[in-house]
This record gives sequence, C-alpha cells and structure tokens, in this order.
Amino acid sequence: MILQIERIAKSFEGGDAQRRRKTIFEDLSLNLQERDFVTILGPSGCGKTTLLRLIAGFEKPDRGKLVFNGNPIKGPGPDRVVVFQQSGLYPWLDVRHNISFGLRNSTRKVDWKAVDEMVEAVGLTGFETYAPYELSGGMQQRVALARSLIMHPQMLLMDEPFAALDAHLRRSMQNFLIELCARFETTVLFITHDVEEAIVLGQRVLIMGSSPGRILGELDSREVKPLGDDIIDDPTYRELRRRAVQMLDSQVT
Amino acid sequence: MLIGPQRNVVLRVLAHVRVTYIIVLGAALLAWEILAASHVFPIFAVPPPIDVYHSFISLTTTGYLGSTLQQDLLVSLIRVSTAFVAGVVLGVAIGVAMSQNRTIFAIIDPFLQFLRPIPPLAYVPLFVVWFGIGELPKVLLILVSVVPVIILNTTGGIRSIPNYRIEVARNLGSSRVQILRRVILPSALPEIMSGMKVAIGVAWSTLVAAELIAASQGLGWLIQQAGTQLQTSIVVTGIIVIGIVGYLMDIAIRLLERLVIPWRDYA
Repeated sequence: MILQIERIAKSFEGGDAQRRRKTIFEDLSLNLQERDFVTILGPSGCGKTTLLRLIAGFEKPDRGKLVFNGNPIKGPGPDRVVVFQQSGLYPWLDVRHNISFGLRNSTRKVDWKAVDEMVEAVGLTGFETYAPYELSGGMQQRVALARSLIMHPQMLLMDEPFAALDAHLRRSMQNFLIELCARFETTVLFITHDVEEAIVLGQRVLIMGSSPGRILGELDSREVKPLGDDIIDDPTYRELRRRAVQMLDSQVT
Repeated sequence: MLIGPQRNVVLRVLAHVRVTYIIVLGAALLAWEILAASHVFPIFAVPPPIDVYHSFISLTTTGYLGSTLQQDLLVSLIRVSTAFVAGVVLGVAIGVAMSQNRTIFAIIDPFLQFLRPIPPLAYVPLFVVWFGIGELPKVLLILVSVVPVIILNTTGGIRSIPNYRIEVARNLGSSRVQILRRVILPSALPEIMSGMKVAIGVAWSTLVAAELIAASQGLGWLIQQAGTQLQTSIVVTGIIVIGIVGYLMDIAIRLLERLVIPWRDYA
C-alpha cells in the first residue's frame, strides 16, 4: 500500500459575507496500491483538487490522517510530484534547465546526460534550448512531465493537466502518459472531469460526488485501452461510461 | 559582447529612435525658434535656440563659475548613479524582506505610506542639519526618493507571482532560500525593472533639490546659479542636458530589460 487516507475531514473558511466554513470532506478514506493508475472523476467543486493538494502536502487535513509509504504526510516533497493544469514552467529557463530545476535543489553538478535522456523520453529532442513560451501547450506539458519524472517520484499527482489542450492533442498526450508511466513505474493519481479521459487512462476509476466530497463508486477499467477515435465503439468502454454517468447523475438530484 | 538576437535588439532600438524622435525634435526646435523670434516674451524669458547653443559652447569650453559643463555633468552623474544603485539594492532588499515576513511588513509599511507623498525637497533643511553639506546629504536625498519606488515595485511584483509557480518549486524540493533566489526574484524582475525606469526619472528630478544643499558643482547647481543671475540660456542648456542624460539612462534600462528579461511578455 503506497497511500492510505484514513477518515479525513477538511473545510475552508468561506469567501461569503458570513464567512461560513465550506466543508469539503467529512469522512473520506481511500487506499492506493503501488503502480496503480487511478483516475478520479468528479464534477467541479467536489473536492478532487483539494484531495490532491492534501496528498501533495500543500494542505493539512482537519481530522484523520494521510500516510504515504508508511510515513505521515507532513508537507510537499519530490516523492509526490504534482503536474498542474498550468505547466508552471519558468519562462527565464530553457527546456533543459526547466527539466533539471528539481535536481539542482540538491546538487550543483547536474547529470546532464540524464536530463537529455529525459528530453528524449518526452520527445523534445532538438528543443533543449527553447524557452517555454516558444513551445506549444502540449510540448509545455511534456516539459512539466519530464521535470516531474526526473525526480523519480513514487507518485505522480496530476490535476487536469490536459484540460487546456485541444481534443486531438489531448488524446496523443494520454497515450504518451500511459507509456511513460509504465516505463518509469510510477503510481499515478489523475484528476479529471472528463468521463472518457478517466476511463481511458485509469486502471481504477473513482467517481467522486460533492458536499461533502466522497467516493460514489469505483470502476475497473483495465480492459479499456486507448484506441483512438473508435473508442466509442468499444462495448466495454460504453458500459463503463454508462455506469460512470449514472453514478454522476445520481448526484445531480 | 552582444550576439545574434541581442545585437538586433540594439539595432531595433536605435532605428526606432532615429525615425520618429528626430521629426518630433525638429518640430519642437522650430516652434521654439518661432516663439523666440516673435518677441512675445522678453529675451531673458525665452532665449532663442542659437543663444542656448552659444551657452552650451561656452559652458563646455570656458565653463561657468569655475566649472565646465562636463565637470558638472560628471559630478551629477556620480551623485545620481551612486544613489540610484544603492537605492535599487536597498529597495529590492527591503521589498523582499517585507513580502517574506509579515512583521517586517507591518513595521515598514506605515512609514512607507507616510513618507511617500512628501516631496524630497522638504527634507533638504533636515538633511543639512543631520548630515552637513558634503556629498552624503545629496546622495541620501536622491536615495530617499528612489527607495520607495523600488520597494513598491518589488512587493507588487512578488505579490503578483502566481501561486502555482511557487508550489511547483516547493514540490520539487526547493528550500525557502532556493525559492527566493530561483523563483521569486526572477519572477519579480520585470516589475523591479519597471520600478527602475520610474526611479531613474525620480532620481534626476531630486538631483536639483539635492544640489540646493550648498553645492558648488553639478547640473542642478548650475541651473540654480544661472537662474538667480537671469542667465536663462544656461538654465535651458542645463535642463536639456539633464533631459538627454535621463533619457539615455531610460534607454539603457530598456536595453538591459530586453537582454535580461526577454520573457517579460510571457511571464
């Protein structure tokens, strides 16, 4: 078990005039196995980003505990790297220096060979000295991914990283991510509000509901492989999709 | 050494200066000549361009009240640059400290807000009492005018850094100091440099006030001395020189900006 979340509660001070506290979680538990590729599917506002930020260590729970690799989570660290929706690349650094950013926190002598291998792994050979703003959105996210993977994190936390990309690019990035994570043997928790993305990417799909945030159900989607545009014709996919939508709809009433 | 795209930047700026500015300058000169020749105002109020040119020549060759224009310029340049460089360093340091620590912010901010609207000229008598009439009070006066501008731009620049940019660094294992040096400072650099552009103008305007303090050299001193003797063509020469130097410094900072932060529009 790489991650155990036990009965956590979390609320924030509300932004409204009465400063009512907004409850995100009341009693949430969740376990993740090593090398899982788990997607969390839920409507916006259900608390999925908060869950990810708790695991990353950016937030602390009001109650309950989060245990990663046997140790309670105390703060952010390179063993659990987040890939945000915005690539968050540093515009004053070129591709190589963005990728090596984390490495240079702990060493003066960067292993540039490893950096160049990572550049190649994300298919950006030839773009090493480009500035982030000279790259397309998809390429920027690949740099962000490379910057995270080079830290050899045990877990990759992804917060709708492809939401800003167009449909075609999104599909190729999804395929690319699956390959890459298999190669680097990383456990992935991937957040999305896109039903197709959740099913195609995840081995486990957790469907989340809101107020308070909770897991409505789980789907086993190991059978579904990302095929391309003909995915909609795959009966397994269609069945999973129907069940996911049903669970999400049960919330709306 | 400038290479490739950097050299192009220099050429672009120069080309930009050449085309539009010379037309505007020519038109202004012509209007000035017409105004002076019309004798609507007495000659000591609006000296014609040719008189100013003659003052310029005599100022650069024989000088005025014991010092040439070059000497005055050099003295003023040293005062302004010393104060400017010190003010930028101090302002960035204070601004960073204020944005990193709430207590420091709470201590400095009231003073900053209180002192900001006071024109530097008001400090002149105090500074004479405190620091005498040497170089120190003059440099300090310019410094005092530069620092708040830099502080405000530094804190503003740091405040506008998107949160995820800092979270990425924390996530990748950066310490507080590393975040400051590797993320916060470069992120705030564009706004700090904007502050420098404003501050260089403020520094030159404070110079005249600074040189009210018993100076015997300097462009501000030159203007005042010539003013009391109704030597308006010298006054105008001094004004033009200050304008040109201030403008050149602004161009220098802009060039520096494009070389140091070519990414500013994408930040």
